[in-house]
Amino acid sequence: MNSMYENIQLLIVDDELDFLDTITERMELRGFVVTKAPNGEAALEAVKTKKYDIAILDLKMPGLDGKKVLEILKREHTNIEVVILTADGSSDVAEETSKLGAFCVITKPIDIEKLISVIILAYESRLKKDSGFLKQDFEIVS
Amino acid sequence: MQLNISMKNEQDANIKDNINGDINDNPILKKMYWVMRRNYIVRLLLIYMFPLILLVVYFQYQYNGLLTKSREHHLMSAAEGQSRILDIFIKERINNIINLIDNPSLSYPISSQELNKMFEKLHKDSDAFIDLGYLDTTSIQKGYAGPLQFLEKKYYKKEKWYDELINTNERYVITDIYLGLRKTPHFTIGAKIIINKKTIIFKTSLDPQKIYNYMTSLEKSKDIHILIVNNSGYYQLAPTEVGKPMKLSFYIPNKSLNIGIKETKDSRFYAFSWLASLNWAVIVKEKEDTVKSYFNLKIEIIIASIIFIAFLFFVIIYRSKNIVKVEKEKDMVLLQFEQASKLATVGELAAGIAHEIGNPLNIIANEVGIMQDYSNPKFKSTKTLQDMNPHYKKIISAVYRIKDINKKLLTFVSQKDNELREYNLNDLIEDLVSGFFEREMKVDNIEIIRKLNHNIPTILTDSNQLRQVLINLLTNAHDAIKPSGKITISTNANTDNIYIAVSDTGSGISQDKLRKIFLPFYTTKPVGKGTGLGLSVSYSIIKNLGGTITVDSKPGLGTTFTIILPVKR
Repeated sequence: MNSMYENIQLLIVDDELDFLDTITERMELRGFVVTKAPNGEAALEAVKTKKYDIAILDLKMPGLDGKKVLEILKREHTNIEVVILTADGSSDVAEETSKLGAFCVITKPIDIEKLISVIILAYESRLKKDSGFLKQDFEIVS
Repeated sequence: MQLNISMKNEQDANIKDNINGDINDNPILKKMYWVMRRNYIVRLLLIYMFPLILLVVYFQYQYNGLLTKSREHHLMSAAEGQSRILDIFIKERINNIINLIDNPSLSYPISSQELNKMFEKLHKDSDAFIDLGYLDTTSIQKGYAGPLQFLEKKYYKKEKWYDELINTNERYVITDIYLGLRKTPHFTIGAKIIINKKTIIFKTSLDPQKIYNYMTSLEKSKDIHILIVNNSGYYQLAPTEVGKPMKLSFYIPNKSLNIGIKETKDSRFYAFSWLASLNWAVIVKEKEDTVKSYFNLKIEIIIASIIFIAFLFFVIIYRSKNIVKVEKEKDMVLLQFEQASKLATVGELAAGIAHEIGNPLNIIANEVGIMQDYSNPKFKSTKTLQDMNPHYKKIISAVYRIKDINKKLLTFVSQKDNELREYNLNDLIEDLVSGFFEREMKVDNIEIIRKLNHNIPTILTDSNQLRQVLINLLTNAHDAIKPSGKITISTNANTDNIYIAVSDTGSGISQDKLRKIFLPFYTTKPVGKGTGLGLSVSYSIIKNLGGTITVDSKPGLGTTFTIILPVKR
């Protein structure tokens, strides 16, 4: 089980530090490799140095907010899947973020099992994209 | 869809009913409307009724004066006219008799044939003459012509007129009216002539009824009684309903005046005019019907005035009711606006509130989750109970965060303490900002700066309404700022006013939009985001609280709203 998640590189971005610490610990207990970022700037800094499969992103944050971060991530790191985590579960948010390329929106408070299943789905989507991207790459090269 | 719409209408109707109930049941409002109505009534009464009543009283007074004068004038001219008629009548009769006896061919003694001839002549002159007799100084009637032959040889010595005529320098005397031997009212003219140094006295009786009938039958005399009294106030002639001849009159005219008028206590007028030819006076008195018709006329005018004034009074009462009704409806619309704006504000705040509650809930769920993980053998945790402490603490603090928000939310939505109390506006602002806005603003990269003057006086105001205005201003400021900026709230005061300024470093408002900003339903926010009620309701709230709200904006730099509230209301 653990070995299954070890390959998934997770980036969790949330300004609620109490939550960030705890969710990180819980995900690590389940075998994920997690990097935590307390704000948007830290997240963008993190993706520069390491390749992440999935980012779990809070929307309302001081400084760079979630939407901005999402926009930049999708622009500069096309293959990363972004799961939006928000306390505001209105349909507006889902619509807006999916336009910006978010994988899906999960409403706080989260159920960890649900989060994990979403992460797995997102990871599978990421892998598909990867292979597509490689194929595309290959075609271009050849 | 149809269902939704009808449900929405039902909801609206419910809100309206609630507000209706509020306005009609609230004892303070009830009293306020009553005072308002009373003031309207008093003002309208002062403006319309007071001058009108003065005018009516003045008119009544003048009209009564005129009426009295015209009555007096009418009576006096009637009295004078009647006395003239009587005077002329009597003078003519005297001339008749004097002309008759001043006959040089007359010799003494006069034959009865001669006397009859004389009487016939006299009777031809006037049929008022009843008879003619003559006597000498023996005072025994020597001859008589007329209907009552038994009067011949009658002894006249004891008659007053006889003495008078003997002793006077005048040629004639006229008696008062008396019944005499023939038991019908008549008067006598006695005239003397000296024939062959012998005084001969002629006497003739006259019936006054004919001239009296003439006097009373004139058109002018229709509405009056004509009475004739003698020098001592005894009736000579009078209509039967007023008095009988020889009875004492109800009124003895003033002898020092030729003509006069008298008003009795019960508003009856008598005019009198003394005759020139003898000591009789004509008294003229309004008939009861005439007095009554004058009295009725006065009453009619008074009743008409009262009806007119009462009509105006009811118009004023009705008008004041209507004015208050319109005022009530205006207040009700305002209240509905306020309520709608409040609900809209809650709606606009909902996302922020969801965020504020969702985050602590999320923390709680996670903390509980990690403790479950620790006790799950699958994860082979080595954590002790001691290690749980930080997680408990996080849960507790998250719970309190929610409780805090809950409390703030309730104070905002609550309508209960909708009343005037003394407040320190700084505390109100502090509560509002730290409770609601600070955290939400922070995540949206907006810094709230407080520049509160801690020496401002407390103020008697409605905290709920003021809170709503501030929420509207802060929400607008928040929406104007993209992507980051500052909102400055400052308070200040001088002796008269307290100032609250809310400034933002947002996009600002152009001049043409600035003019429409306080109009209801004017909004620049996207559809579904703003109702356009916030500022218009804020405007009326502040106006109701006795203050003003102004706006100053520089496009691109930001906007400042300033609320000015009077310290003393």
